[in-house]
Amino acid sequence: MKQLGKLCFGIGIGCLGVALIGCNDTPIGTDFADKNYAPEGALVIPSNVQVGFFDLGDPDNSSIAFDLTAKGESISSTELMISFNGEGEVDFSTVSALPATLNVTMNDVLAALSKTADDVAVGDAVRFSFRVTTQSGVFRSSRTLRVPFSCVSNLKGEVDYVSTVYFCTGDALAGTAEIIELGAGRYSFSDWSFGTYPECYGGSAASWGTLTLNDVCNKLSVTGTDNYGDSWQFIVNSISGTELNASWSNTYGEFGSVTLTKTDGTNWPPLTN
Amino acid sequence: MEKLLTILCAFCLIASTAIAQRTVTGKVVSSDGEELIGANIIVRGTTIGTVTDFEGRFSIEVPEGSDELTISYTGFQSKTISLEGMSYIDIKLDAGVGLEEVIVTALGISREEKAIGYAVQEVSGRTISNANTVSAIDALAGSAAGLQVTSSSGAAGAASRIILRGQTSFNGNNEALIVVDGVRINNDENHTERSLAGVANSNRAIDLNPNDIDRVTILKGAAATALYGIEGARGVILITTKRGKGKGLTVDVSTGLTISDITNVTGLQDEYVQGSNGVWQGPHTSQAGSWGPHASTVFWDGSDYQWDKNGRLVTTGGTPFKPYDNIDNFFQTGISTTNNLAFSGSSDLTDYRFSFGYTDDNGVAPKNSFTRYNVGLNMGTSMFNDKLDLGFGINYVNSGGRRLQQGSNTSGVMLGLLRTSPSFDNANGLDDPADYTLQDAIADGENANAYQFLNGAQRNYRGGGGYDNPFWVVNNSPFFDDVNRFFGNFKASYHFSDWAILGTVLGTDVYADNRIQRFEIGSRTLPGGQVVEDNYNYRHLDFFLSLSGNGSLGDNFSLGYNVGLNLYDEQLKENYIQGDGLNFVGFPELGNTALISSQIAHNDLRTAGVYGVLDLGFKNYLYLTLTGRNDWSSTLIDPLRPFNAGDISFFYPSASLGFIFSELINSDVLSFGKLRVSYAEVGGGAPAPYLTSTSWILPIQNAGTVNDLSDGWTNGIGFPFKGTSGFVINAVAGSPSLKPSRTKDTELGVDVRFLKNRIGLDATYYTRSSEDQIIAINIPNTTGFQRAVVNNGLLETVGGEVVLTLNPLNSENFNWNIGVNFSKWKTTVESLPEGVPNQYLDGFTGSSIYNIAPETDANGHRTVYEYGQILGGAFQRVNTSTGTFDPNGSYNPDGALIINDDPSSAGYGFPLVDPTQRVIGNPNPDWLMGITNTLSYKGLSLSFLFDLREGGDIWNGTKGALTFFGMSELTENRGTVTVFEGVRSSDGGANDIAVELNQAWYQGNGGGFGAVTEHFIEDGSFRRLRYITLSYDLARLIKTSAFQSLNISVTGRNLWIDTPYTGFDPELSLVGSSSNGQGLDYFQQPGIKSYSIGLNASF
Repeated sequence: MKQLGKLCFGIGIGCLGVALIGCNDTPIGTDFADKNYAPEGALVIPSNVQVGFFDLGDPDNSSIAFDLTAKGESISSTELMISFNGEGEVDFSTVSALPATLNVTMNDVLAALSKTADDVAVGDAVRFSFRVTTQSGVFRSSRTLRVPFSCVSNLKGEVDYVSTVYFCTGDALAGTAEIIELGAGRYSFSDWSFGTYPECYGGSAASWGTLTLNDVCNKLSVTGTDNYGDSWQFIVNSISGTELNASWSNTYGEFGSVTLTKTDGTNWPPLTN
Repeated sequence: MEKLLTILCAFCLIASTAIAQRTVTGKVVSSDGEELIGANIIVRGTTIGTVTDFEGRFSIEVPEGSDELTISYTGFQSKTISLEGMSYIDIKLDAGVGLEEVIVTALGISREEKAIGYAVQEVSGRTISNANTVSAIDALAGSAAGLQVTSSSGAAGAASRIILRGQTSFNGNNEALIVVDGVRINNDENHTERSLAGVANSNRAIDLNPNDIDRVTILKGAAATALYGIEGARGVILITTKRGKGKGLTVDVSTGLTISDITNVTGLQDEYVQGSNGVWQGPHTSQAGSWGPHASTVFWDGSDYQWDKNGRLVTTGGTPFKPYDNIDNFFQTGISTTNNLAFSGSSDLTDYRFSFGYTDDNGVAPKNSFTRYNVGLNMGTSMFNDKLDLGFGINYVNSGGRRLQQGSNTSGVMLGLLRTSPSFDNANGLDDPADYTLQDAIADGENANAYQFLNGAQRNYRGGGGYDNPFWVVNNSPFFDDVNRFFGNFKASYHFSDWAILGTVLGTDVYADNRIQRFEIGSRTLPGGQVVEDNYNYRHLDFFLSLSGNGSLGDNFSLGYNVGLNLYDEQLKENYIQGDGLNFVGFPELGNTALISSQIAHNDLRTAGVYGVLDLGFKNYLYLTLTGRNDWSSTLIDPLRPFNAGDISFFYPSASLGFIFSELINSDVLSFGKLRVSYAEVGGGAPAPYLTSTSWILPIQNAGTVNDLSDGWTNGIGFPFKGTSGFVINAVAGSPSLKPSRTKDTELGVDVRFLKNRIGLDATYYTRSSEDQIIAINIPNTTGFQRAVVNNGLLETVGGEVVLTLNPLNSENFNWNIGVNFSKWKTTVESLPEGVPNQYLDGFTGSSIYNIAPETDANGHRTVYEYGQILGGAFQRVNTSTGTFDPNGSYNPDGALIINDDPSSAGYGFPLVDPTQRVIGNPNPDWLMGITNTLSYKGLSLSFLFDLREGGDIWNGTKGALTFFGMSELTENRGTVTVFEGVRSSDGGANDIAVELNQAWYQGNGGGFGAVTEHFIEDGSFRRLRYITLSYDLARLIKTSAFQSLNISVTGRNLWIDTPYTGFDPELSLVGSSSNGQGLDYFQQPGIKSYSIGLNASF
């Protein structure tokens, strides 16, 4: 019996040591995933957005379409909300089941926002966000859809160019260039130098970097840089039917004056800067 | 096995010839089963006697007519045994009521344990050998309170860091001083490359043969170690090697076989293949990540694809894909063999022991090996009627191995292995990928072996770029080291009288550590190839001359003294030769490189000291020890000033008092009781020589030093530059006015034992402050330097230890002992130089180890940090009483996450990043505990040690990186929709934003390369079965005098580990033993578990 008591004492000491485990402050990494990565909630994911903007040039007929799919827990209800330029959200509609394809008119959006077409301008945008209900609660989806107010643009196509005054001085240069559509009013010229690089340097640029010609409701601008890191400008001087006269320059000091003539016979829209 | 059988046959032959003799053999053990070495055995009524050997064995000729043996041993109750015709007998001695046991203390001074006024613990040689480790230091893990052993890696020959009672130095060495037979030995870990990369080096304690160790005395506090100077302030591991004991020749033979395997690898996913955003991108694309499609959705198309014999991956048709197991294909079963042979003996006047040891350790990674040869000779003799004692011990060691790159480098074997996608087979379908050569491939008509195509290009999962195939590293980037070392001592003492003993000790440690690192052409770290030959030549001389004596002053007082002189001289010369750009493949030698640079570095220092010890005893219960030492250190010499010995001189005293109160109490319960108190100061010079001056150095391109003229990614520049030699001023500015640092240590303790020592409790409380630290701090680069050395800073340590010993069961045949060591300490940074917020120790950008200066917030609250904190990126968390985040507020790891609820932001729904680097982890353990159980039944003994560590945070950088690359098991939840537990940033409401855990998250702040690292700081607590050993004394079966002992044992090591840590073994540390920046895990080799069988015989 006496020995047994000692045995228990010995075992007790061992147990004490083991029991002392767990007294320290647990660092964040030990249970970060357990706390934060457990499946919970659901996402509504917008995709396949058609048009991608509300057309200020034709508000009554402007609409967008997009698909909605779900991920995560099973969703019992989905509410659409919209906010204008980051302002407070307002309820817009309810989606009965997912996946779904939604068609949203500009007028419906403006009505929900208590605005008219005159209240919005280029640069404004609405954001569609989603509130879902699942068996474990009500959640916001981190996937949202931003839809700007803008205009239709259609500048793509082939143009004949005639470069006259340019940085290495020479005879007028004639040729053909392509206006390549990049999507959503963004374009690139196949030759941003309009023949002057071959004339002045004996060859064209290896690439044009990220230079992009942007058309937002007939206002043109150039963003990005060429493959040498220089920024460019493209200034519209005049438009007459199929002919557009413009001046271009860049931060390297190159410049030129060019007349672009649309080869498909259509007129240029009233472009400005 | 053949060798084993031969030995057994030899034993049997000897046994058969000896059986007719009138010889009595046996074994003497303590009541707790510990073999008693040197116990006296006398045939009663005669002068015939002998002493027990290392295993407690004896053999004695008993004349006719005698039938009783008397056995005595210091500290134990003598016993007389009647033989009654027996030829073999086991004898158990009970411990004496008082403690007369002699303990070896500082400078080899032997003292009765009861007279010591500070904490000392001993570990027996048996414990060391039972642990079955290549390194004796590893065997100490968990065996003593206040002791922390950290292995750098599971690689063969990897260094182990040994710390006693925390840290005493900001910059310098914090490892315990190792002293063998009274003479210090070098335990440096020489680095050819920076600590975060390179190979798993050895530190030099690995050169000790565990089988030669008789016992280890652990001196912890400064009072115990003050006589060793500043090096002793870190604690001392005092090793006493075996000597010859017992009449006649004793031959000890032992052999052991150990097989080992990896314990754990950071969890890897095998569900997703190489690619990005769910699209397969094979090796030809150089894609680094495994963010491709799910394995169940892809098929091998069987097409001709040079990267995979099964073809490309497609989404329809073909053979269903099955992930490759690159871990299993790479690691192997490690095999280690140990063989020891020793001849020993003694007479009345002399003793000798000659030993030979051979250890061959082949690691779990292919071609990783460590080999060690030990030859040792200990001799002692007495002359002139025992007036003159002479002794010497000399050891020769040849050690070294073949090591593999690890850590943070693109040639790191684990980096390439773990990042490899499960859709790429590093082994290329080969059964012997590490050994299959290109010639084999040609003979078999293959286009490649595992790691190389026939055209020489590397075969790896990133199309030949990125990271080396681990089999490439194994074969084409080996590191070899070869150490030849002598260490030993010569001792002489002349006993004029008990009051005048003149003694001298001359010790030395000399070694040449020759290393060569080769990078073949095509290695990812150095595509042009490189060869480095790095040779360290070290030697020190340690000389002592002392006069000592002791005796009684009347009936009540005893007096002892020891005064002496110590001269220490240390020289280290490093010859570094780097050859860049191999001219052609297949001959990675310096002579085949295009550009050769070299550098010679000297590190020489010298210390002269005088010391004195005064021991006073009153009756048999009060003991006072006073010591004082004055040192002169060459590290403090200012070369620009005339030499003045006073400038480099410093004195430090100590006092300790032991009060044995049990001598004043008459109790059957209390066997022994002692209170002890001590105070000590230890002074020291600079942690390294030449810090008093600023030197000029020859920077070598990409040599991995602070003087590298590079950005850390490119090769940078170095000298010679285009054939022109040049020097630059050292990036570390010297300080000519350095003064000695000082450590002050106070210790209180109690040692009580009950019920005839069957229950013992030893508790210690101590404080320590290390002030005037000599510390390198970062300074503005506009000064022309990166760092400067200053005399500043204060470290304080507060700690406690409890040692509990129990003997719950003690019968004639069965015995059970329990030993519990518990220790807890905290070393805090109380100050850094004015204006210096922190001091870098080691680590990576975003996760580094720093000493942090105390911080005082706006409310006057002062926060003091422990030594070596993990500083890194954190998420924003609520740190105010109003439930918001204040960037100027303190870090609140328990606060709720602040969630970005701006829908226009890319991080909508995810936690926001704290703009300030925070102290996100504390690598220091909260406490340590070792629980040893030893159960013995007749000749069978079972011993096991549970080793527990609570706390000790680790940055799991391996997991972080693997998460970025989509290889961590964590990323198997990709696509999961979740809601972070936190509050919205705009209104503080509970977060309700559902997000998807996807590639973008894990390659951003959710992964290891983002701005946040706090979520990869993990708890390094563990409970492990450090070892379990079952041994049996075969001599009991044979019962012959031919063997003094014949013991067989099986040992398992690290067989069970319970830890919340998800990476490699939490006990490992990337930066090795020498760096003070502990707590980093980044692609070092995993830990190992092992199984051993051993046979020990003495005859």
